[in-house]
Amino acid sequence: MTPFERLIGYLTTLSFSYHWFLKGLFLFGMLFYLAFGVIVIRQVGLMSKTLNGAINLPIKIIAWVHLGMIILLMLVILLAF
Amino acid sequence: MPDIYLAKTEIKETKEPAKSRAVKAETVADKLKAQRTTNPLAALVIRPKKLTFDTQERKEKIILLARRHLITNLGWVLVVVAMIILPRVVFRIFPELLVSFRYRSAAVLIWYLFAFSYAFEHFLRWFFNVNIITDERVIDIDFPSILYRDISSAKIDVVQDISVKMGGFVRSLFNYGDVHIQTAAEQREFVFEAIPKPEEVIKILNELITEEEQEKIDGRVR
Repeated sequence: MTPFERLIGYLTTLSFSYHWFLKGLFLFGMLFYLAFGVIVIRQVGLMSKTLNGAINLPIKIIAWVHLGMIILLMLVILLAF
Repeated sequence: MPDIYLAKTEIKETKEPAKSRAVKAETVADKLKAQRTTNPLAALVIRPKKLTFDTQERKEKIILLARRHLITNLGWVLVVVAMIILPRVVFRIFPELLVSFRYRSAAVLIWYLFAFSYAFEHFLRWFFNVNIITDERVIDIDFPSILYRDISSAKIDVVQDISVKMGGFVRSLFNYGDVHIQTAAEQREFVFEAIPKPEEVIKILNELITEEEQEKIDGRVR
């Protein structure tokens, strides 16, 4: 069997996997979301530096928790699916 | 005949009372101490205690901090409530959508996280977009988009004209409006948008202008 025949054979037996397509789609979306989470951390840092008040620490904690949740969800999609 | 001897007479020096010499005029900052706001989430904060800003000078006191009225957040709060309800509604109307429990739970979790991000981002915008009046300056801090900030300020003594724009049912009901401050500084106009009790802000600003003029007359300009 020549390599060309093997390729043709592979392409003809290739089936569309709904599962992998959805997983890839979720992960691709989550990558952008992860970048957004990091930007929010930086944004909160900049805002807190500009206006330093009593509840800046809780806001920073919420921003980190937000990023943590994004990473956790990404790991869940990556490993549990 | 000339006096050869004169008995010493005790001359009591009448000392001026210390109080009358050191008469210190009560400043607007001192007057407003009694009305201090302690709630850090208030839309109108008078003489905040634990608050500083980036370009604040060492002796500069924050007299007032104004955010948009709380009711202006109603729009995005309703959107968040709708986002929370939406998955239940969608899966009730289309039960065959994402039948697999795994996909459905992943989609729902991502959706709720997205709703949380949306709410948090709007809260940040509301909380950090502020207008500040100090005993020396008027400052406008804006975060028009992510990682971009815009701070403009003008000295109180260059303020030329102040006006309020209030109108409409909701604004009258909740007593909030826009305060327009015309200045002779580089930035010609400062707009404090949708701030609560605009008449009180104008009153304080007018008092500060008078105080600044008095300081100029007395030669106490910082």
